[in-house]
Amino acid sequence: MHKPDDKADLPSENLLRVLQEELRPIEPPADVREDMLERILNRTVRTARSLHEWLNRPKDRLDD
Amino acid sequence: MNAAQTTVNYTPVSQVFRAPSAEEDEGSQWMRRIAAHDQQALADFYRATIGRVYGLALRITRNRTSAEEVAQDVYVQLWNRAASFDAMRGSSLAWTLTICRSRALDALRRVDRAIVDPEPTERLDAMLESGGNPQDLLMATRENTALHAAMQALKPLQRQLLSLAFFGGLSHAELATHMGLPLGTVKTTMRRTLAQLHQDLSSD
Repeated sequence: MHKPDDKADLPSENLLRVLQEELRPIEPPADVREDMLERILNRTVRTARSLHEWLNRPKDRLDD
Repeated sequence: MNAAQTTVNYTPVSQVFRAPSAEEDEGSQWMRRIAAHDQQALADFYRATIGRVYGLALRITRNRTSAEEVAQDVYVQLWNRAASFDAMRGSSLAWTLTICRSRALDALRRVDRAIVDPEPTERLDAMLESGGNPQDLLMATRENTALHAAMQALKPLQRQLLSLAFFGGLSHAELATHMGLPLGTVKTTMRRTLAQLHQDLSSD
């Protein structure tokens, strides 16, 4: 059953954006903050490496 | 409240789609460098924005571990999708926070909060050392902003429903069930709340 107006008066995208931007920041503890950054950078390296490996996979596997 | 937090200028709803400021230009430059897979740019952007991203994720998930995972996912997603950032549609921070809210709501829906953390709100209260409900938008918004003043003008029920819609992503029907209110009451209250906010935020 379609409910046409169930979300009609929920916060708009613009209001959501303003709410998001005006919230007080909460800084994680310094050690957590740096640990998180290290994990993020490691994940970006893995992403780049796996793309590189995929692009350079053996030709006989291209048709797999 | 420190001085830095009291001097933040509020952005009116009507001006969300406006010419980028110098700060936003810097954000756009970060996005271009991240799109080119510059790790230093990602690290710089992370250090400039993690408090905003982590804070939003923590308020939505009410769980420190989930918030950390969400925040990491956000920056990895930026790394993979920065090329699709469009400065004409808003700032890099707004884009980042939109991704964050979406990922945090996904995380919230994935887990059974009763199992992960039986007292999430109380734990977050202690974490924030703020007392009261950390998801109350009046407490969560920065003081001396138009949005904070608009939140102060709302009735408690209005703020509570808006908070649940924002932090929990709840529909009208879900709000009615959660609050034990008639669906019609929820719809009417939300309609009046949003109209009042729109009026307050547009007349500054």
